[in-house]
Amino acid sequence: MAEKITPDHIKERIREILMEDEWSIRQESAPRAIWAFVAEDRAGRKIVVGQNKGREDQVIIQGAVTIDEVTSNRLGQLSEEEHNNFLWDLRFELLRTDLDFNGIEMPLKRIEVKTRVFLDALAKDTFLIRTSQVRKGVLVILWMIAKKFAQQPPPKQLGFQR
Amino acid sequence: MEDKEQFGLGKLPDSAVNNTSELFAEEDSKFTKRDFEATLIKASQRIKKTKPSPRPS
Repeated sequence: MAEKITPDHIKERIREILMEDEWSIRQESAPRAIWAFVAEDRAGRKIVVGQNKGREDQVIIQGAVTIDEVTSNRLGQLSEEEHNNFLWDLRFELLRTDLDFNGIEMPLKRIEVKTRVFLDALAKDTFLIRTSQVRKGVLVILWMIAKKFAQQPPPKQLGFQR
Repeated sequence: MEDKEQFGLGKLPDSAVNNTSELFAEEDSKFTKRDFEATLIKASQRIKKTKPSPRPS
């Protein structure tokens, strides 16, 4: 009879795959998880991988970006129209990644992206493709913010108002 | 859209999350270095201008 695959088996397999792919990993606690790892790439971008209680048939790969106070203030200085346009652009860019996302609302505090792999598809190739998707999702968020503020917006109060 | 607490593995601790401050920290440090170099150049030019010419012997 075949040995039953437990979350511990999955955890060890994921640890092996991530380390082979040169991620540095550490164990982390997450509220709903049986186990979770934070994995960091060479550039220091973080993603979290784990399995949720009651959903042992899948592995979740998640990434998040917290908006710091300085960035939040910069966003707050944009006009309402510009702010809304930025949020729409961000939503459409994230839709292209095929990831689920959360937190794109005013005021921006934390934006999260995630995907999942079911155990019946948990091959190294599939897992690393999804991992890469989540990392790209994190980069989309970070780089769209960086691009937005690559040039300081002009002060709203300067000049004549029509 | 899912509830924030129910999204994926739940609310992750800050240590597991990327932060936008990293973006601008890098940018600021570059500016600081550039500003510092510009200040040095200006200061050296000022010193050259204010250096007294040698007195005729």
